[in-house]
Amino acid sequence: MNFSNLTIQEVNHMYKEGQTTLNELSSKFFDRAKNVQDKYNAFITLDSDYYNNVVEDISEELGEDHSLAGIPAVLGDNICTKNLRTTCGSKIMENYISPFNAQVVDKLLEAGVIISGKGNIDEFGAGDSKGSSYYGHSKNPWNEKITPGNGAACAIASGTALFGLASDASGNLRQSAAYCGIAGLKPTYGRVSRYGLIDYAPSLDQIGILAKNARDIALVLACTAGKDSRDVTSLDNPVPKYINEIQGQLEGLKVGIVKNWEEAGNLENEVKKSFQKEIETLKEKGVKIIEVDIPSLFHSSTVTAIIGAVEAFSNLANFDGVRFGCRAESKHLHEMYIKTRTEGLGTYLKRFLTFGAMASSEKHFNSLFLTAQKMRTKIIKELQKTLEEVDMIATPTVPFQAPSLESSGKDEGITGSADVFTSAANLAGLPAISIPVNIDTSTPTGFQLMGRTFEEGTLLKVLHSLEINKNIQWPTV
Amino acid sequence: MTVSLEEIKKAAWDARLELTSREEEVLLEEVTQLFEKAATFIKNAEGIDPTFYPVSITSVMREDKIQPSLPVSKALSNAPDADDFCFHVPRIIEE
Repeated sequence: MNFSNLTIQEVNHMYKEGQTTLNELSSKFFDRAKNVQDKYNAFITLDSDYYNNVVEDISEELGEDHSLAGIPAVLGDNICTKNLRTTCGSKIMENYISPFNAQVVDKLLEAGVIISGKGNIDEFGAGDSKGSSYYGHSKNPWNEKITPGNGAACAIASGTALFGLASDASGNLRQSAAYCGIAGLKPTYGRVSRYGLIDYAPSLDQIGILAKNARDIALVLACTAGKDSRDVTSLDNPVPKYINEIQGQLEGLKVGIVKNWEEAGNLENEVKKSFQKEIETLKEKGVKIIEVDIPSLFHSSTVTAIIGAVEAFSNLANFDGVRFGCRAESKHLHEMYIKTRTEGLGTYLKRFLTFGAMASSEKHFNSLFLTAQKMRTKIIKELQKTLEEVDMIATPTVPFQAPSLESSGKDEGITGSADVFTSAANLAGLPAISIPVNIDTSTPTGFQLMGRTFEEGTLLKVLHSLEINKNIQWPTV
Repeated sequence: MTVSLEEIKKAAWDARLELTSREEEVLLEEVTQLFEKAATFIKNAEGIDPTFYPVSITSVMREDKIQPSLPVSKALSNAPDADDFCFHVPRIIEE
């Protein structure tokens, strides 16, 4: 069985035709996950007892069309799972076991999904996918010397899970997808419940989907989308049959290219060439390419850093050693707060939270935080106006290829350099997808499309159209 | 906008954190750079209303009806120190 190339559709076919059984497939996937863990450190937690219990509980019929039953998946480790620890990539949550499942986890388990384990993440999902996890760097299966971003993307690219869910507050999920040569969709804010996501920036963070193709993402989105009364930010819009929306021609679609996109900081030549090549492919498919002016777009990463830090300062204040997580030895309560947080949090997050405290102080609140929220309005208005003219906006996902592990984590800046193109979608709550390009090389990159609210289907249609004829040789383990 | 090392120390205290002198220096440099970037858009933001959430949240209140809730034992199960009913913390008043 060639695990590296498998998709959900193919596994469903195998089940239907009797070419494999649930026990055989699940056991082979778990063995592979253990090997991948040794080699790439993709997971924070792999628990055979949990895994076997999940497999035993699957009562869905296997191999039905559109089914996720018996499909192995990986979750970012800030998505809560009952009976399986959720560390948030942080020492402070090393032994935390949530008393409840995130809403998306309940939905996946009801659909018969096998949760393989919890993927490595930047601590609390903050940062720009450089691997600031207490549990060490994950390695990219295409090239062990570079970062894969998060562990879920690494697990999918290395064939240990067929899809993954992870958080995306400034682009982390899409950046990881780009680094690993897979697709990553951040849905519209409110499309998927955030109940049970331990987010650091509630107005920016959204659970998204990582997978190898449009069809797989469509199936997972249909399963996880919808209103949840426990999440006040989730929205009650009907959930379409995304699987039907990915079909069809692209002719007539209008895609905007941002004026001056080539002047983005740190833009590498390889990324520029790959982006231009994808634009040419879209033109060949009948897509109309239009230059659009979004002057405030290039302020997005700074604005996101300010808002994210202030929200994190507030949202992560309860990680203090009282109710959960580790606690440092101390003589009195105040010392306990300080010692617990200082020992339990990593250096990047400590600087980020300190900056958040500063930006929300009396001195800087108006000039920094409130100004950032006003700029957010301006960015949203510019994007909305542009999306009246075009169906979607194209940029590279990340201006550079995956950074080397050697450079990762070395005084990572509080304004993410990888967030230049991705963070605007988080500010505006728009859906955005990273489409893999350069997958035939050892350093894949991504092509990002940002669409109108609730038009995930159109983004998936473009992904589906671009992936046809790509005969990919995935990394072997 | 400017920032001093003292401000960084005060902000760390507000966040209940202790930074090493190396972390303070790095953050001072990062914040100075970020202030420079922010200075390029401060004027552009004048006269605009802020946005705090990308969607409008109308109410966080549900109907006042008793529903099953987390049992106390489960709520306390992750606490570093607790008895059957309460979290335990060290003494509040310093010696």
